Amino acid sequence: MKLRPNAIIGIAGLGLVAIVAIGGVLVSPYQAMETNFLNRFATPSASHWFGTDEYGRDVFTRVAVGSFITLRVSLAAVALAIVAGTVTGAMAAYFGGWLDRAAMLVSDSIMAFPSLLLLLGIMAALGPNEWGVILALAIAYTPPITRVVRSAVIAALAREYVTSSQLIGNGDLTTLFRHVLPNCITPFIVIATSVFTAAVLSEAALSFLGLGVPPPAPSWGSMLADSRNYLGINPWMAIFPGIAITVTLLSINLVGDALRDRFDLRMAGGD
Amino acid sequence: MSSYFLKRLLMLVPTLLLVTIAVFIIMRLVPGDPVSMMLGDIENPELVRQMRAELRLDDPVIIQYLDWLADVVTLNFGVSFVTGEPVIGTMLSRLAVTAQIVTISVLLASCLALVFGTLAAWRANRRADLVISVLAIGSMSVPAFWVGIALIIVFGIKLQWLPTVGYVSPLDNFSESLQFLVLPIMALVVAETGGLLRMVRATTLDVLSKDYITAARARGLSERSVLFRHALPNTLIPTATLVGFTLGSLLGGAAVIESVFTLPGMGRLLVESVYARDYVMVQGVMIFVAIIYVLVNLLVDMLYPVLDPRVRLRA
Amino acid sequence: MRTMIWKRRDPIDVLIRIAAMGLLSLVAASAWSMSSDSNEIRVAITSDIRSSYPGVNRVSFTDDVMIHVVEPLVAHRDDLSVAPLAAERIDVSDDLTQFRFTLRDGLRFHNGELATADDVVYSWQRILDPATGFQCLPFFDGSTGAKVESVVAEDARTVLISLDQPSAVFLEQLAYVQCPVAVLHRDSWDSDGKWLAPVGTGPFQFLEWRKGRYVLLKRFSDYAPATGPASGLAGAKTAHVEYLRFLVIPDVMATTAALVSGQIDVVPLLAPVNALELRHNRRVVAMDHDGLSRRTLLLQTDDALLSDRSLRLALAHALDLEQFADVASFGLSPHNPSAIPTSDVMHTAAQSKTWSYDPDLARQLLEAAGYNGEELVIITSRSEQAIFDLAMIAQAMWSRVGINVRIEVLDFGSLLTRYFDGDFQIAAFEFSPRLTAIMNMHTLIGDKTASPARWDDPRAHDLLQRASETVEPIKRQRLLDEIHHLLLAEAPTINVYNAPIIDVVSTRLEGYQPWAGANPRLWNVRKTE
Repeated sequence: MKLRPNAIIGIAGLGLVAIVAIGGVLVSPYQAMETNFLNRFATPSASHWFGTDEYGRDVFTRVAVGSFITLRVSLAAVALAIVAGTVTGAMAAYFGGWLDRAAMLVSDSIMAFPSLLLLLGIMAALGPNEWGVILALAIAYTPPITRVVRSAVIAALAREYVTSSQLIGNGDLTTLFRHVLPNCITPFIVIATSVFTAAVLSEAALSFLGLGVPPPAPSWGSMLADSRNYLGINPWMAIFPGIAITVTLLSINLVGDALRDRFDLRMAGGD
Repeated sequence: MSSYFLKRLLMLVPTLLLVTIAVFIIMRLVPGDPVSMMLGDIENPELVRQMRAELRLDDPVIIQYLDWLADVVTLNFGVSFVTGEPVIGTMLSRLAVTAQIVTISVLLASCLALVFGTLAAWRANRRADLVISVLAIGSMSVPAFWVGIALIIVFGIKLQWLPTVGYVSPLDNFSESLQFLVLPIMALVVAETGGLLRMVRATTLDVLSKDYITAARARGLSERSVLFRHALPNTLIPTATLVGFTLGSLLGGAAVIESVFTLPGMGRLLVESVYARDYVMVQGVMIFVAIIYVLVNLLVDMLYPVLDPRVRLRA
Repeated sequence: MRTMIWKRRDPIDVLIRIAAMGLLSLVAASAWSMSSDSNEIRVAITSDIRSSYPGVNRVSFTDDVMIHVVEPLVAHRDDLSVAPLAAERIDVSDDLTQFRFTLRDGLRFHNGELATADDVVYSWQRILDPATGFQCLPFFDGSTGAKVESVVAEDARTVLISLDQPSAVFLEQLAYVQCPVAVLHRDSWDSDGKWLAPVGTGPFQFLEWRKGRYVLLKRFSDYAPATGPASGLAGAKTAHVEYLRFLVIPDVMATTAALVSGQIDVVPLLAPVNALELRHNRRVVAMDHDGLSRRTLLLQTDDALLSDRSLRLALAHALDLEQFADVASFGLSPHNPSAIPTSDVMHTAAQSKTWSYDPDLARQLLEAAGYNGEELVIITSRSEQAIFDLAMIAQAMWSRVGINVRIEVLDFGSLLTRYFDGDFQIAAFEFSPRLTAIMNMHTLIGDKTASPARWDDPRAHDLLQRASETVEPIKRQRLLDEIHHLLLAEAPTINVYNAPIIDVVSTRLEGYQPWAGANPRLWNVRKTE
């Protein structure tokens, strides 16, 4: 298998984000929440590579730690959504009937529900914390996965191996998880990467609106939101978290493209 | 066709019921109520009691829900706890703002996407395609609010060409209203074009590899008629679906861009109402947004037979 | 073969040219002059006014608009003392129960009619009707002191208000800017008593309210000003501009951008950092004044840990409060340990006494309290940058002496609920402006069963009760000083500073002055070309 240029750039981008994140945490002499009121709004320098923010916190350290928070939240949310979406989608397709209808009704309802309110509500109910954000994002992104898995499973069910599995006496769940699902891996990977991109973007947007991971923990979106009030004093505060979000999203998108090219001929990039 | 439409509308009902029940429960779980938000740190227990009673906040939640539902069924969305204005009026005026920005920008984005997407597919893997594809993926990766901030800095603060704040209705003053619309529309177009464009490119590529295109080319048809008579119509349906989806989700979820440019739109109304614990308004907006979302998608479905005569809708 | 249709020119080139031309023409078409003309002053408010009913369904922005439209009988001066406004004379009986007001000569409603004593009586009945929901009803219905027994029109220009018991604070309550019992024409209500719009007697009249966007006021040309120099909300007022527009702009950055580009003329109450940002701009000028809002750290004395006085004192001594205030207010406000604002005449040297910054003492006190790194939680909100800053700075300073504090961020509604329930260990909080020393003390001291967030100490209750009943200033002062002394010993709350008032105005405005009461005053203000 030959790596396409988009995959190489994407993986390199993710590597860069990882290096900044891990390196930043290891190298930086500062803590992400360490304040220094005598050195606020510093512009980038040797001691503060990305400058400092309104509390004199090191922006480089915060961007680095922020990447862990953003990726942790998005990955956890996507993982939860994948598990929930796969189970419900597969069950709905396999068993059909009222289970299918109920699953689709709930999915439709969630998709007709702006994730914003969902998030605020769940966070308010759970108290403001990272798990609230994860749970809300997971709930918002389960329906698209459910739908994709459901239609893939329905397609797979028509194949002979399903009937043969049932004929040799395998139970429903064995048939479903051992024989049907592994054959649906392609659309699954495609939807997972696109949901991951959406989750990173949503996390940033929600933090930007003040509905994300609660401060003072650094999240890229909330760092951008903070910076807006101080653009005239220190525009660097807005530049670095913005670059971090864009590079990350760009990398995931490129890797997603490469995966799509690899697995899904219909969406292939060449002719 | 009309029975199809009716059936789809009926299917909306259980969805909306679920949405409203969820909203009701969630809003009541959030600490604070509209009365305390209105009074702030002023202590006046008698007034609190009186206002709570007036807003019927002390009734059991299930009773409050059923009362509200009974009103909504008769198309009475109630009156805002905070402003005392009818919910439906506020929603419509806010929707008008959001709809302007969103429809114009989605329209622009779709046109750009159709033109450049088709172009990229047609010149697949050439220099033009590469440039367009890089721009498209860049557009998908840049958060709209970051674009918005950048536009404000450049055009509002540095160049001072355009106002960065406020809103004038085009009905009041058309040319003035344009000034307020330009930047938010630009931000949305930048952020939304990428996804649409890639969709157009992928479907066009797909279509171009089909046998009938090869056949058309083999028959010696000009490249122009191959593209516009055969390829383009077949890319319209998937594109329309995505446009509908984008339109629907933006109409309810443009809160971020509305906050950046302080536009009095639906998204901001929702966020403000949640913060102010204006339960009636939140419920109204939610049900409204859900209906719009479903209707827009329904409309897209109804367009299918128009876009492609081979498609028949079945009830 | 594929290049046939675009062969004349590179298609990308064409399209880019078209797009660029479209964009440029769009920009050009919209680049009209955007600054407002000299007949209109535009003021930024961060949220809508909620209603036009003064004192009823209101927020501070409602007050900002209403001070220009309606006039109560009395109003505060710059030094927070009380002056007549719609009245020109006030006669108070010796027993402090009878208040006789003589209406100003030529007091006229915006519809042209002269205001009479009957109109005052009518307004009182409407506003004080319990069904109205007047926010300061407890001031007048006997639930927190004297009750208004009757409001009677003695002749066309004289109104007599009688109380059931003496009140030393009645006029102060009557002047309260948040809930003016305004002199309103009966056309302000419909025949069923439902509120329509204010027909008042102020220098500007209410013209148009576009919800969520702006409130437009128009100069009232038949306005007959009160006599005496303009001070606070009282004195002679002249409207120099034809229109006054209050624009709703919720976003700070958008507000400053609009100010710099001349779209608005006044931004009241800007955060220090945003004012700082504008200090080199030649088109605007930032004016500051000592404010009344109290920014404070409330300590819950009922909490298992914080019921220990040593721990509370340790928290106080661990803070470098001078630096705290300096950092938090960007050098604009001094530290004020007292519940009485620095600009109040009752704020004497005794009220400035504070806890020493002494980390070693703090550590000793922690040891005495048996504190062993237990987590304390401070609640705050992101909706108000200033109270978020309070929590951030406090946490940083406390961590230096080994106090383990976690910040819990809530939305403002939740913070308010937790405050009213007293459900917190430490709360970063801001009290809205109270215009008198006694009112400010009431935000500090209270009965825990009714207001669990307050300081419930029998000694403090007693002192405050005696201070409220004392008319003689020196004696009242002494009692208030004693309360402050007790506050330092008990540390039920750590007051940090009073929010500075910073109004940023366009240099085109002449005559604008900020004041302690904070509402922007646009009378006696001119706008040059």
